[in-house]
Amino acid sequence: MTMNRIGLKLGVAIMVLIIVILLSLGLAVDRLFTTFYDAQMKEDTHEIAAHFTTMAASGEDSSQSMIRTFAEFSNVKVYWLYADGRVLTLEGKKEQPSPSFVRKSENRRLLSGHAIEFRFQDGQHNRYYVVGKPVKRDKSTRSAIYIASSMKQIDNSLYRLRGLLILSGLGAFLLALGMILIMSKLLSRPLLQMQHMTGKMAKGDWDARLKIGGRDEIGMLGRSINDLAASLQRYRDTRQAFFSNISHELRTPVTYLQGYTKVLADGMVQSDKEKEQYLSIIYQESVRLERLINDLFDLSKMEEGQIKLTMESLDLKGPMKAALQKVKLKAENKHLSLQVDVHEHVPCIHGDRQRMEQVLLNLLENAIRFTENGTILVQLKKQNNAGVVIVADTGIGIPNEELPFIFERFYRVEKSRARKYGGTGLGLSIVKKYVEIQGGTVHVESTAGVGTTFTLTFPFEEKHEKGGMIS
Amino acid sequence: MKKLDWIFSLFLIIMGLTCLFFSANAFGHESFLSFGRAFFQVCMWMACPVMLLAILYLWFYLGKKSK
Repeated sequence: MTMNRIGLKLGVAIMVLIIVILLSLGLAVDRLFTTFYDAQMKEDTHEIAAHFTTMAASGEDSSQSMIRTFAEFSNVKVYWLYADGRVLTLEGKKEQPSPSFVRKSENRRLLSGHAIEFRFQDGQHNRYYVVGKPVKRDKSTRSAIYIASSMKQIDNSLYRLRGLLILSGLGAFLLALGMILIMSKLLSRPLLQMQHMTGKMAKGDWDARLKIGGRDEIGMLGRSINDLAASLQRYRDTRQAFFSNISHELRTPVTYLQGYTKVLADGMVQSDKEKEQYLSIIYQESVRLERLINDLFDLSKMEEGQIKLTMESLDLKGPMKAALQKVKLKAENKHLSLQVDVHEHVPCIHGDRQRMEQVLLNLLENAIRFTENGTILVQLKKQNNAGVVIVADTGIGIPNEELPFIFERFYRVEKSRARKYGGTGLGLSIVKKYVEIQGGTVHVESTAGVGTTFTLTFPFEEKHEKGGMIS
Repeated sequence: MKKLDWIFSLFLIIMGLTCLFFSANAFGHESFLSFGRAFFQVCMWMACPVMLLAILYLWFYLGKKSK
C-alpha cells in the first residue's frame, strides 16, 4: 500500500474535515439525548409529586398507604415531612432513618409553602432528582412530601448510548477513510501521470505523451502538456535542422571563397576571362554569405525585441517596384513571367519602407526559387479599408499539413529542399514578423504541385504622427 | 490503483458499515441475528443501484468501443 504525497495531502485534509464534523455531531447528539432524558424525568417526577400531594391533601387515613403503593409502582422514593421537622420514609413497613439530602433550610422553605427541586448524589454515587412539594389543607401548610427519583436507569441508558455513538462515529470514520483512499488515488492519478511525464520531458524525452481522456480542467491541462511536448519536440527538431543547414550554408560559400582565392593567389589562372569568372563567383558567394549573416542578424534582433522601424506614410507601390526591380533579372534567368497588377488609387498605409521592401523581396525570391516554369503574379489592390498585396506563383506548392508551420523559424517543408533550392529557412519567419510589427496580417494558400499564394493585408493609414519610431 | 489498495479500501468500507449497522441495531435488542438481517437487507438495497450503474457503464463503454 503506497500513498503518494498529493493523495496523502488530499486524504488528510478531507479526513480532518470529517473528524471535525463527526466530533461536533457526536457532541450535539449526546447533549440532545441528555437534555431529552433530563426533561422527561423532570416532567414525570413533577407529575408524580403533584398526584401524591393531591392524595396527601385529601387528609384520609389511607392516603399514606396509597402513596406507598403508588411509589412502589412508580419506582420513586417518597418521604413525608411533618410540621415539627420529622421525616417519615414511605418505603417498606419499617421506619427508616431520614435521608441525607434532607436539610433544615429546605424543610423550612417547604413548610413555608414553597416547592423545591434539586439533584442529589449519595455515597454510592447514585444520583437522584428530588422534588419537594408542600401539602396544603385549608390554605395552610402542615406537612410536605419529598419525591426522590433515581437517575440510575437514565445514566445507564446514556452510558450505552454514548458507547453506540462512539461506535457509529468509528464506523463513519472507517467508511470515509475507505472511500477517501479510493477517491484520493483516483483523483491524484492524472496529476501523478503529468508529474511523471514532465519529469521525462525535463530529462530530454520529448516523445512521451499523456493518455488523458477527461474534458475537465485536468484533462485540458494534460492536453496542454502534450501540446507543449509536441512544440518542444518540433522546436528541437527544427533547431537541429537549422544548425545542420546553417553550417552547410556557411560552409558552402566559405569553401568556394577559399578555393577560388587560392587558385587566384597561386597564379593558376590561365586567362583573364577565367580570372573574371572566378572573381564573379567569389563575389556571388560573398553576397550569399552576407545575406545569410543579415538574416541571422535580423532574426536575433527580432528575438531580443530590439528591432527599430521607421514608420511613415507609405505608398505600397514604392517598395513593390523596388523589390520587383531586384528580382527581375533572376526571373528572366529562369524564364519566368513576372506579372504585375497594380490597382490605381490604393491609399497609403503606415509602415517602414525598407522592411516592407524586404518582405516583398523575400516573398518574390521564394516564389522564383520554387517555381521552375510558369508565372509569378504580384498584385496590389484595395479591399475594404486595407491595402492588399498578393504574391502568387505556379511553383511546387506546399502540402496542406505543412502550412501551419511554414512561418516558424528554421522550418523547411522538406529537408532536401534546402540543398536543392537554397535559402536559410528564415525568410518567411522574417516576413511574418515584419508584417505583424507593421500592423498587417499574412495569409497563405497553397496546393502541392499547383502553386502558392501569399496575401499581405495592411490597414490604411489613419491619423498617425509622421516619422514615428517603434521598436 | 493496485489490487492491494482496492482490498484495503473495501475492507475499511465494510468495517465501517458493520460498525454503523451494529450501533444502529444494538440499542434495545442486541441480537446478532437482527443485526445480520438488517445488514443483509441494506446490502441488497445497495447492490441494486450498483448493479444498475455497472450495467449502464458497460453498455455505454461497449457501445462507444464498437463505434
